[in-house]
Amino acid sequence: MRSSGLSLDQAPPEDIPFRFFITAPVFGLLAGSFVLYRGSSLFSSSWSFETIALTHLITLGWVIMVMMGAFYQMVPVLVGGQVPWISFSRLVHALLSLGVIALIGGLLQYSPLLYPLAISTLLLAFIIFLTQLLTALFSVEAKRPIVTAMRISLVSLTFAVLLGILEIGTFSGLWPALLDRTILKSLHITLALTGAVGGLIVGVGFHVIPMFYLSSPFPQQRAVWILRTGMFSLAAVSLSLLLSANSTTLLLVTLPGVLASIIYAATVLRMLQQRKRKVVDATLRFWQIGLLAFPFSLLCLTVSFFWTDERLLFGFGLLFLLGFAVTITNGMLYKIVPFLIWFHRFSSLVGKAKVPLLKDILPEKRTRGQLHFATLALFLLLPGAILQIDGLVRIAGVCWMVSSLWLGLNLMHALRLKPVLYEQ
Amino acid sequence: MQTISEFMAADHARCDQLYADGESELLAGNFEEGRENMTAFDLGMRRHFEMEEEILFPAFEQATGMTQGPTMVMRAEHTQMNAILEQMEEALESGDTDTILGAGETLLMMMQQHNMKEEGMLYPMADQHLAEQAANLIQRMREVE
Repeated sequence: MRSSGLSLDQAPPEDIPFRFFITAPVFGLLAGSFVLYRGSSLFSSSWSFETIALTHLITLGWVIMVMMGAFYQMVPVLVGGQVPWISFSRLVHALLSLGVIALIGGLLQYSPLLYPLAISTLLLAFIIFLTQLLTALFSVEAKRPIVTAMRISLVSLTFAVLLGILEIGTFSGLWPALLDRTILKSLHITLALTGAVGGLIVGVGFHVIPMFYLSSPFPQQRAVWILRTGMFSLAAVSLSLLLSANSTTLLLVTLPGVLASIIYAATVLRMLQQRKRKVVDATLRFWQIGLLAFPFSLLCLTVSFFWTDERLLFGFGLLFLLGFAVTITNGMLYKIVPFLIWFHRFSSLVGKAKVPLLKDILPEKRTRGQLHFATLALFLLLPGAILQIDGLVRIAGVCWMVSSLWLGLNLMHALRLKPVLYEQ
Repeated sequence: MQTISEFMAADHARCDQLYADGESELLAGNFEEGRENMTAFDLGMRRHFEMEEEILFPAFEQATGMTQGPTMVMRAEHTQMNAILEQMEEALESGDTDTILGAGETLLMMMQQHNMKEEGMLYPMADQHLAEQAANLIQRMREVE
């Protein structure tokens, strides 16, 4: 039954989103261990292979991993798009996981064979994923801002993946460099992070903040303006980078996007402040931290375009990835996973058998402790990395490991709950 | 003139507000005020279900001929939500704040996705198919106790 772009009971089998969600903390744990092992040397040059490896443990291993699971879940349920060949999603997960490991192995120079493996697995994973999701998203009407935001995210991701694959091919000597490496790097980072990751989180925020916290709705006209401005900036920055435009031009085309991010963050923070529900849970704190980090990260990126100090790029990377993307996805997992478990496993038993409540599936006391470690990791790593304080960076690595492990255990705790076990 | 969508969405918002007020009072330790709001929420929810099941859905089913479609799914979800409401009522009776809040949180997640389907799909379809009867249907729904 489909109409007005929303379908009923189109949710994918529960194992599809869950396999992506549960893998993210595993890569988080690896990223934290890597930071503990290598310390502040990881934050001395953004060109270093180890730094690129760390970045991709987070971007592909965590952020894209969660995003893919979320796309598979949300596109049918929230926007009514039918994702074709849904069982291939399991293959996408396997290919992405293998691809990340091969890429990291290749970057750390374990074996020259790993790059071709990374290229083939990642390329195949993204081709399947993007074909499925672009088909689904471009067959629904784009009446709501969330659909536009998701399209911006996927189109940016497509270009970011192509650029990434081009670069791995060059690393491994499969083909010569087709683009200047500095331009390629800036384009890849801009499209992947601000376009693909930023686009999706911004769009999801329009929708879930009023739902979860009973706030006023995000003003529709402002949402449209933010998306249009963001899209303009993204396209204009990409074009300026490609054409090697001067730094004044870059600044001029970046600023509207930064302004849109400030207005977005300020609007959502205000909605949260004035929400009807007064309850303060870990997920609310994750959103607030993420929303504060978002505009600051983009300011760092803007300045880095014309003031080439590596510390600005690290500031951007840490604020955007750890501060914004990892933080918000972490919080959202705590809302989505217990509900999906309840929905898939218990909702049909309500009234017929004793079923757990959401708080029984994932108690607040479990999530709050993890929030503290996640926040601590961010606040130690920022000064540690930028001021090159090795001890601080390594402690942050430990906090990050604890935080990822804790999240993984929390998700496992929820995932293990089955109706039969509960009745016992 | 008010559309069915506007009328029904306003009732969703009213129930949300009653829930939020009840939750705030309970969290602040004001049990009596909390119980009052939660009871009002409970009655509001049951009234909303009745308006839909007794008036809106039959009219929709008659106008569209769809009896196995969205209204069937919505009715099934009402049954699930009613069961959680019962759990909440028991907790209101026994004064078990933890269970009131826990049942409330679960219900709220259920409600939000349910309301989203209704506001995004069912009500706009009702606006389309029941345009001529809208005023009369709204009047009849207002009269539900």
